Amino acid sequence: MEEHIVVFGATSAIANAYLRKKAVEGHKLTLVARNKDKLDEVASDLRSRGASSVRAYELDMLDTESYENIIQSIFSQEVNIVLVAFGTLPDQKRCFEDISYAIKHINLNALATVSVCTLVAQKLKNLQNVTLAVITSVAGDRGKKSNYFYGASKAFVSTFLAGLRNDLYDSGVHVVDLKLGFVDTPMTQNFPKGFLWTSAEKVAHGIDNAIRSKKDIAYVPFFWRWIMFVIKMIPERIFKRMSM
Amino acid sequence: MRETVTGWGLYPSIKAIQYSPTSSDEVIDCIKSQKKLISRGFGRSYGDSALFSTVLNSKHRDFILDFDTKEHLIKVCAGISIAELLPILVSKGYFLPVVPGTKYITIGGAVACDIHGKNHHSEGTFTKHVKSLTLVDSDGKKITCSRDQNSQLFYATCGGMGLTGYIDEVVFDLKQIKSSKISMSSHKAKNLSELYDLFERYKQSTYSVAWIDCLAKGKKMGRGVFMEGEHNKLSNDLSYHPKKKLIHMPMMPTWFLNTLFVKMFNFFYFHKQFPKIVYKEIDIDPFFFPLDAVSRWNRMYGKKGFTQYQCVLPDPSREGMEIILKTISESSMGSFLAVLKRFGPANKNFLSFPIEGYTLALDFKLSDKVFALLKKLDEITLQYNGRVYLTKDVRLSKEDFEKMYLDGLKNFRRMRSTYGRKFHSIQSERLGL
Ligand SMILES: Cc1cc2nc3c(=O)[nH]c(=O)nc-3n(C[C@H](O)[C@H](O)[C@H](O)COP(=O)(O)OP(=O)(O)OC[C@H]3O[C@@H](n4cnc5c(N)ncnc54)[C@H](O)[C@@H]3O)c2cc1C
Ligand SMILES: NC(=O)c1ccc[n+]([C@@H]2O[C@H](COP(=O)([O-])OP(=O)(O)OC[C@H]3O[C@@H](n4cnc5c(N)ncnc54)[C@H](OP(=O)(O)O)[C@@H]3O)[C@@H](O)[C@H]2O)c1
Repeated sequence: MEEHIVVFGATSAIANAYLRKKAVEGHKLTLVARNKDKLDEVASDLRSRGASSVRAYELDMLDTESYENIIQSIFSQEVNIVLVAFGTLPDQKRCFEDISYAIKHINLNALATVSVCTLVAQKLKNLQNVTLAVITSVAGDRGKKSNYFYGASKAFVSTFLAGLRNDLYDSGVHVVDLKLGFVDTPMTQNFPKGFLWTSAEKVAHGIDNAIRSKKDIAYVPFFWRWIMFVIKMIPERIFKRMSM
Repeated sequence: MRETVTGWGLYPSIKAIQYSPTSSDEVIDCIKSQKKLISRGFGRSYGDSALFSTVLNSKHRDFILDFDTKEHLIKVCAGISIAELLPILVSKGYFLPVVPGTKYITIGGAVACDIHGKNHHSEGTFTKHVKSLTLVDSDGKKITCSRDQNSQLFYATCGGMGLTGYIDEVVFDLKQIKSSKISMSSHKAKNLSELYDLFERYKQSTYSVAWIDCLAKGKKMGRGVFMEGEHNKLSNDLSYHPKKKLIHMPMMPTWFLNTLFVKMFNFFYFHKQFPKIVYKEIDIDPFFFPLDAVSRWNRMYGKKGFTQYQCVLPDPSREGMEIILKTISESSMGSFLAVLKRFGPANKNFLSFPIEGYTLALDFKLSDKVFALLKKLDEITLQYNGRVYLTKDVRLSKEDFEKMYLDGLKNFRRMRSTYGRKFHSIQSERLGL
């Protein structure tokens, strides 16, 4: 069955890998992203790969004023799946030293994300058999010195999603929190890669599975559930001395 | 961040900073901000042509910009690979006009090396089918070129080893196919002269190639298996389900591939086919990309790495080829199967490798003795007016290179000094390109 899939942050490497998979299956795609040139390339690419139709909207997610019009326009058609994928990985040290830099990233990763989720949820509430999927991170499971500004923003979103899932349960909206581990993408270009790292294609596969099997919280790849289980078990009085 | 990078031959291994832009604006910014750099695709060239201390990696520039099923054309960003394109093309009844022996290469690499396939004698090199391309030059300027527009730059860039600029977009013709199956036949040949006869007899076949046991000596010298094939024209089966790679090659100790092992392998390879001629219908992958079944097979030669020697001798090439094979078999320097192919006429590109004649390619585990042997092979190649393929090379001397590529070199250097000042590879510095 053809589905209409809407992606916020459609030029992200991970979202793009998911979209390519869905394009090959022939679905109808709506893309929202901030960079027009990239958006045009991604849209042509998905058309060439077999998407039944592709619509694209240019939107900087920090421009919250413009959300409503675009969401109104997107939801003039029936929607089946919404994926929220945009995000940034700010430099931790700089966040600590420069609060306006930190706020900008918190605005995007936390506030913009829950704002768009809220507006989308208002629409999805009235539809049947719909999914709201949001990419967060294992970094949100426990604050640690290497990235707690980023981690806290993701935790904010995860907690919000748990509430939203609970709230929308009766309307039948499926809300899935996609907690990703380390993925080799432009965002992590400057990180040395080890055995825990995965490709965007593999993660896209995990995202697709989590959406189709109606998971509530999905760790992608799955083994992060166990890694984070162990990390969360470490008593704080020990954890605070550790370097992670 | 500096990381270790190598070519497919694992030698040399260097530390480099890699940039992987996601948009053409980022490509431009990257080139403007660097003094010297080289473009890189999947790093399947064997030697040092995609190596430099700063690398511009095309991996995030992998979009299909237009797939025109009316004109049978496709426009892509150069970082897309053949492996990524194949399922999309085959399901719609298309194939790439030319493919090499692996599908894990980018279109940028295919253009920069002007690659050839098993169909060079019938359909030419990859760039013969390229309509136009967009290059970002050393000033960060985007230039579109084709045979009609900026043609000198086009001829310098096709086969130009990434030295005229970063290739960002490529438009090329697609080949229409009726089926994803290949109808092929394979023939055992007792020696080189039988192989040459088979190439002559099957010169109408679209695809042909031969594997040679290059350790066989005397009367058996040049014994091998000749294969030819066509896209099946009768069935309408466009299914394409490439196997996920099952076998991973671990890094082997350097002594692993010794002469005895290779001798046994070549012996079994030759004798595994019992009858003299076999006809088969096979899938795309086993016909075109048999080596891809083992991922990272380059680690079989061990950490010190290996190289591939590929030369072409213009017609008539029999005598020269015999001397080359004799020199190799007498040296007993373990190498796996060698590949022999027929080439059709050369094209107008300044540095493209193919010229009408026969080409031989074979792998060598690296050692000082091998370098000496390859130097000897260069001399024989030159004596027969042939040349060596830069895509596979890691050790050719500047003098020999200049003799081999004399015809196009002046034009190439002129274009390179205008557009490609910033682009340097370890190879280009070694060869004074
Ligand atoms: C198993 C195997 C079989 C092969 N069989 C064949 C064969 O049958 N015929 C044949 O011709 N070749 C063959 N090759 C060689 C291969 O086709 C070439 O090396 C090809 O160029 C590899 O593409 P790549 O994307 O890996 O390029 P790389 O190895 O990354 O780069 C090769 C060259 O292209 C340049 N380049 C790459 N991308 C760009 C770009 N975007 N802009 C400008 N320059 C660029 C680089 O600077 C470098 O000079 C084979 C290789 C292997 C490993
Ligand atoms: N990579 C990992 O290891 C990892 C791990 C856990 C979670 N994640 C999460 O996965 C998601 C996707 O990241 P990725 O790895 O695919 O990285 P990516 O390719 O860098 O994608 C990030 C995307 O966010 C977009 N973006 C940034 N600021 C924006 C803004 N103001 N308005 C609109 N879009 C904006 C970027 O747009 P442009 O294309 O225009 O720059 C980019 O497309 C993110 O939420 C990230 O936090 C990633």
